[in-house]
Amino acid sequence: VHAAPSPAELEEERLLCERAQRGDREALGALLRKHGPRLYRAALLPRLGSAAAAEEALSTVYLRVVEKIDKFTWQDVGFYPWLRMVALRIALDQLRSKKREVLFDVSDIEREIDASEREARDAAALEVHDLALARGRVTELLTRINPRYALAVRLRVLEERPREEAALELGVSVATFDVVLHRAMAALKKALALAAEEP
Amino acid sequence: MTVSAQDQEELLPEELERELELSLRAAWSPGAIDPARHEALLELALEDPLAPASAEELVESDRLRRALEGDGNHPHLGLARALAAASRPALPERALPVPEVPPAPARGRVVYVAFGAASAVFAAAAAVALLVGGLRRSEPQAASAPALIAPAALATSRSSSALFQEPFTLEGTTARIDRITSARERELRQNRYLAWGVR
Repeated sequence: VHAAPSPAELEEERLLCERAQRGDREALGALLRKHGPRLYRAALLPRLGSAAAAEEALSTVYLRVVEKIDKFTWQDVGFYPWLRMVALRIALDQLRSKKREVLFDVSDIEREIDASEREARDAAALEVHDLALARGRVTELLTRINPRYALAVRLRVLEERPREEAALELGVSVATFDVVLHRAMAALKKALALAAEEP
Repeated sequence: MTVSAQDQEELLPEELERELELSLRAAWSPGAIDPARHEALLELALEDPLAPASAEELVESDRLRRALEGDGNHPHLGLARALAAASRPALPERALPVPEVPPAPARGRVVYVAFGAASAVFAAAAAVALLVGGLRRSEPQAASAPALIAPAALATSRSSSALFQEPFTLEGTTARIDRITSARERELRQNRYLAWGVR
């Protein structure tokens, strides 16, 4: 659900930004407290793939914001789009420097940064966009593997259902389900590698 | 169902499989950041090391300074010692001052050098003093074992420019002083060992 910020909310945020740019750390804290959790959940965690990596990135984002807040220029969509752009650049650096198994690669984030520079969207709209993008990525990847594998992944990994229940749904024994899931993950890894090679 | 050798080769290593599972979950249903963890990240970023000190901070910082110089105690002293021991396990006496040990007969006086600019000057001065005074004190030993003390091998007081290849900048002052101190201390020890005839 996308609820655009009211003019009063935007005005309040603008004033906070002004104070923060004058060196008021309390105001900056209020801005980050408001938007940080959303940034973590919608922009960083899905792209970086683990809580540890997302927290590390968020910490770097905050330090960068403290350092660069004077460069921020107010837009009528609020503070979040700028904050998200800082976060995307940091996520990009992190993906470049670390070899982890993640669903997004460097080019995905570069595309996202380009798109963000072209269009101005408010925080709620960006949150919806980021979450949908991540889910869409998973769904798209699952279409690239055997449907039985996709179902195994969906049941056990995405929905976190017990093995017994997932096995029942697949119509196999629990031991067989374990093997199917194991193979499904290998197939998914291959699909991910193939997707990365596509233009 | 059993896994064939060919399939086995294609399966993912456990760690990789786990990473992929985490990435899928993070993209599909990203969790929220722990509020306490978020506050800790915020605090880290927003803390201003150069903010004006309170009266209590002034008192405590002075206590800590004195404790680090070997005068009195402070709750942070244990942590400082642990850090020093962890970073320089081979030279624990260098990082923090240790109470002076009474001089051993005919062995000269052990001087422990603390860190900081004063230490660098002191170390250089001590090297000169040892060269002149230390040799005089150990004359009896020198006479009995002249081959062990080779004056030509002793380090002498001189410019520290040879320690630096790079041009000086305003940053990194402490690191430069540390480097000088470290080099001079090493020479001081070598001089002592030579003067004592233990090397």
